[in-house]
Amino acid sequence: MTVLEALDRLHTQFPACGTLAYADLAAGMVLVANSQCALDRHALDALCAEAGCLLGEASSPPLGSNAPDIALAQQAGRLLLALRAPEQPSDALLCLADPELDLGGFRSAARDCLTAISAEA
Amino acid sequence: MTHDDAIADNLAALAARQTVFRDGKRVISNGFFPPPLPAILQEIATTVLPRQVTFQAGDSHLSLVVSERRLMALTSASSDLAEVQPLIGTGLSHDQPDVLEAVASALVRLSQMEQPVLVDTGFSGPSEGQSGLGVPLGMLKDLIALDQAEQERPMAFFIDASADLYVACLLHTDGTWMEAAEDETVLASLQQVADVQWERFQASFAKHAAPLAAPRLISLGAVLEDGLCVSVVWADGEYALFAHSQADLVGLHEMWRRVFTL
Repeated sequence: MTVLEALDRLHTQFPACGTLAYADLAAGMVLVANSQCALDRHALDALCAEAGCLLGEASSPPLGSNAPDIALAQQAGRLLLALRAPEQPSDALLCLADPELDLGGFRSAARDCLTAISAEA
Repeated sequence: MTHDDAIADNLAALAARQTVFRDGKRVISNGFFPPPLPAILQEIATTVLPRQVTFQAGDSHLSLVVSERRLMALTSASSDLAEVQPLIGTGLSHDQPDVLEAVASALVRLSQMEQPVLVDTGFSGPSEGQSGLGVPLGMLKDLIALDQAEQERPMAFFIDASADLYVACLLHTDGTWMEAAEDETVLASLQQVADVQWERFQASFAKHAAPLAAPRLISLGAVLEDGLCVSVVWADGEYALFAHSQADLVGLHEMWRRVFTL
């Protein structure tokens, strides 16, 4: 399964996700975005930058003593999730969703998605 | 701060106070926050010119003529509000204790429906509400005996409502930190975050995200010892840091939505 197929499958499971992307936080770039993604390159880069700020670098956590494996940023009408890839700590799965997203279900499915992507790499 | 930054901040602050409408009616409470009954009474308190004001919660509604902060007449009510059915189409007077009690009871029951409370305001007819003395808001409040503590700012309400969802909390308000914790060790870790990392993180995040005037919640997973998460809530110039388990992450975000969004 390609990265795009994995993202599209996750999107099918969770339609509340508008944008799903696999990003290289170190490079500050989204590598692949799901087929339904409506964001342009500029918006994707901004999303990546925001996620990079939240997740920080493995050696320099933004808050606390350990680098976060997941970050969420919620405001009215917008929910951003960023999950660090366990095998590639500088990579992350990003999701921009409606706040009604099933957070618990999505976290679990997103981790499976990351595992599948890492297996393909 | 540049001129453009100031404009962006002001726009974000205005957007944060945006009025929400459902089915053409203004939402004054999502059924949880702002507390519905004070929101209903506040709506009456701000009505000076004669207006027909309809409060709706789910399938229940109460339509009143309100003028100069007095309830002047009851024009319609859903059938479940049985106590006010005899008053429909009549002028209201505060010198009739049973009228006062019936209206108060109906307002309280409407506020307890656990539904979003909507309000629709229109012009009142020329003959409506002319025959009664009206029920002053003050008399209504005395009868209802509102819990003043319930009328808290959103941040204070959120901290109280989420008490079972975090291990430690630090609230920064009016230039000082206030703390609450079950575990002093965790509180010390959170205080360390507040003292050493917080300002730099806030500055970094402000560069990448929209201006911070709008209420928001940020959560970072497993950043403290024992896999505890740190969450931060910004609202109305205050911010609070929370240390909590991963298991409570979803609950905290759901509570944030209940308090900070309509």
